[in-house]
Amino acid sequence: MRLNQCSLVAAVIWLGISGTVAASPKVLYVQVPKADIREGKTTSSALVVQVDQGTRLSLVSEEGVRYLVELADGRKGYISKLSVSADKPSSGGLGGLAFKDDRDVTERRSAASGRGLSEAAKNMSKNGTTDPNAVAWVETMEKLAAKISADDVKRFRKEGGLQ
Amino acid sequence: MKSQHRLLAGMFVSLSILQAGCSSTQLGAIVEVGMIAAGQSPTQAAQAGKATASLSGAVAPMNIESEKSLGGGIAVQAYSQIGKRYEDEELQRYVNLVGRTVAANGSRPELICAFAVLNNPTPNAFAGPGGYIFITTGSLKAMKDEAELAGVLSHEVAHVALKHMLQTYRRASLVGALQQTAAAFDANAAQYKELVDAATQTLFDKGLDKGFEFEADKVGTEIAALSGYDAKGLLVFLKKLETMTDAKGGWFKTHPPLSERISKINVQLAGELSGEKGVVQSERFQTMMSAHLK
Repeated sequence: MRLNQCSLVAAVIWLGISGTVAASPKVLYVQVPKADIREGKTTSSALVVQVDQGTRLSLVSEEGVRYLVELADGRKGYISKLSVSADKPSSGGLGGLAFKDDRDVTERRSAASGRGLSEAAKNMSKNGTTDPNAVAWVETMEKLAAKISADDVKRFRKEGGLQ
Repeated sequence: MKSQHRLLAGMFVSLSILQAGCSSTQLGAIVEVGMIAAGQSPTQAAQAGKATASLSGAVAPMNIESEKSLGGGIAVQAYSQIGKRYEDEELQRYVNLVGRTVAANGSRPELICAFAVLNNPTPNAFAGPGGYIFITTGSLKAMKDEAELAGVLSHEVAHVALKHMLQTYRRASLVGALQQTAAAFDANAAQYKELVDAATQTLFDKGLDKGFEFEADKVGTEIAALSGYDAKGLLVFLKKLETMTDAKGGWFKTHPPLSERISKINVQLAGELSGEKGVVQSERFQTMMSAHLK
């Protein structure tokens, strides 16, 4: 009998914690550097406001791939589910709500992660089974990615007429 | 029997704690101390601690530095097995800019993705752990505009965002190795190579789970739309692949049937993404390709 009670207590704790994680959030935080809140459910709908990472939003309803949210000043609009989550970002950025369960806590707390090839990967050139230039090419790939700034991307978007 | 139930209960609670952010090792120690406090013998407590650490390792997410280390090794293999680097800085930069544009609307902006063009005539694109994303010259040649490129890169960004590769490796019994730290990888070259080889084989030869591919199509299409591109980009590219006989070694080899994927994307475009009006941007794409893609 005591054995079953023990298992029951464990199950209750498990369900309690899991339920907290899985429950629909009432408060959402913006996870991407900038996110658009729009009057309608499409990206061509009129812009209500562009919000920064970490902005707190109240969930009104769930509508397909978007949430209807309310801002602190009472304005309402639609935002992509990919741009928000129930987790408050401490630094860097986080993923969208749909992916939160598999995210490492260390990752959640880490600042924007820079690029760079690990020693282990660099040493792969020594085993003789890889292309002799492959490590150098990955390092070039890393350097190019590191050289492209947020401003470069912003300018590229603007030049391409992307909203 | 009694101790077995307590052990089970302890591990059950511990897995809940794991969700809150403890490492497998920390968790094992917590359980060990807890079992001693509950009156269990040190031997039983130690057993419970070890069992919990082992079990939790199977469900714990991979540290981001380890993920990038593993991804770096797979990237080295990509250049060795799929194609050499396409030596054109302007084209590489352009693909990175399109990729970064869509990645900003993916779900892991803390991870800067790196994109590269491989010199291989077969249409193909793939993503490794840690945000290493590749596309072949064969894919670029099959495209007519930037929306198609954005659609394909968004599909790959979605794989990274959803950690599909790591989930696949976990299923392929690479669980223990996935719990290694990047420093441990650096210290044990043989084990690292073994893991990279197994992960590479899974990615290039077996492919990801069919469900993961459909999910990446769905999320990728939304990411492209959210980034301001015509949401039909990926769909247009897949339809094109369907008519190409020389594409059979690429996406045909490891992905679900194109007809199924096209059908599902069509449903998404007619439903939740109806009314989206993004840009196709063919001029910039064509100018870039005609000058830099031979």
